Amino acid sequence: MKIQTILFIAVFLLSCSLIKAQDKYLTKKGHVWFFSHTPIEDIEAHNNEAAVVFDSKTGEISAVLLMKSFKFQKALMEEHFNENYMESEKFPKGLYKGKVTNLQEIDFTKNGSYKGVVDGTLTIHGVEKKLNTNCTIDVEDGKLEVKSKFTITPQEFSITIPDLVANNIAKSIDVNIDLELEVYKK
Amino acid sequence: MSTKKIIILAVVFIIVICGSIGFYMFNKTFKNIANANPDIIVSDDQIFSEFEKNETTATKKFVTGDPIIEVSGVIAEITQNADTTTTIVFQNPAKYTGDISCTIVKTDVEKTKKLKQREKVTIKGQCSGMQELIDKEVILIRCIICDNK
Repeated sequence: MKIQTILFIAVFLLSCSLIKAQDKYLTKKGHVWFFSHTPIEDIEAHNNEAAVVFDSKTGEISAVLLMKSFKFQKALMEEHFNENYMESEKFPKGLYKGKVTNLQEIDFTKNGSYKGVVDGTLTIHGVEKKLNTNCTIDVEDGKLEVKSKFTITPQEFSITIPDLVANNIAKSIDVNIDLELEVYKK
Repeated sequence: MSTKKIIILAVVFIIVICGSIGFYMFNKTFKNIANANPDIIVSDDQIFSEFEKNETTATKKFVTGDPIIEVSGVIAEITQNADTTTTIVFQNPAKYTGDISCTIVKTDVEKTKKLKQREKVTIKGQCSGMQELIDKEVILIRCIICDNK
């Protein structure tokens, strides 16, 4: 009897810790890219080093990326982006802090594709702005693939584009997110 | 030659020069990291401790102006990424608390396939800065593997 009780308690505690371990998901290799289209030229840059933490219990998301990790095809574009537009020396990071507000609609233990509604703030170039967006969360064997798309304008983040190149850069920039999140094990 | 002809020639000359400069700048290429001498040579614990001590100063030194950084360390992790790059992570818990992530360019991926954990390796690349959200990580991109010294 006593052994059975001990065994029961042990299994119960073990399963509790396992369930808790499923709460935090993360990646250090999140893919964030943006695209600007104008009749004059298309500009595209890829960042494959975004760090993202997602708590599936609370819905909280935190993301950090380094501006200097954005890779352009043209060296001159990359230089302008960092030195003139983003002033990456002054503002080296982009931050997102948000929350998935429809957690009850997502079952992280069941494989499938779910829609996520995210409310939060994006801080780039030293300016903090509200950014609410939708995302798709694909659950597959405990791993999450999160995809999202939204647009931002250089203006709202006080990014000044010189008149000379104003027609080379779109008024609104498409930003894409593709993250492969894995359970935090430590 | 008449004055008119000289002026026309001078204007054409100026246009050609400006055009060439513009063309050169527009097609400016990225530094050839593989062939260039490094601007800064450090060990993994040296670069990490500078970032940990003062992130702003370290960013000015290792990030601003895109200096080519040569870093040596012991491989803790080596991951082949989906986009065909490879990421090598340096760790040394005895000397520093976080890690250094070096993403190796596609053209050097074959070299990375011969590398194993706990092996010492030297890489050359560009530093983006430090991320503190997950562990503390100094990030290097556009890295190549240096041939054995």
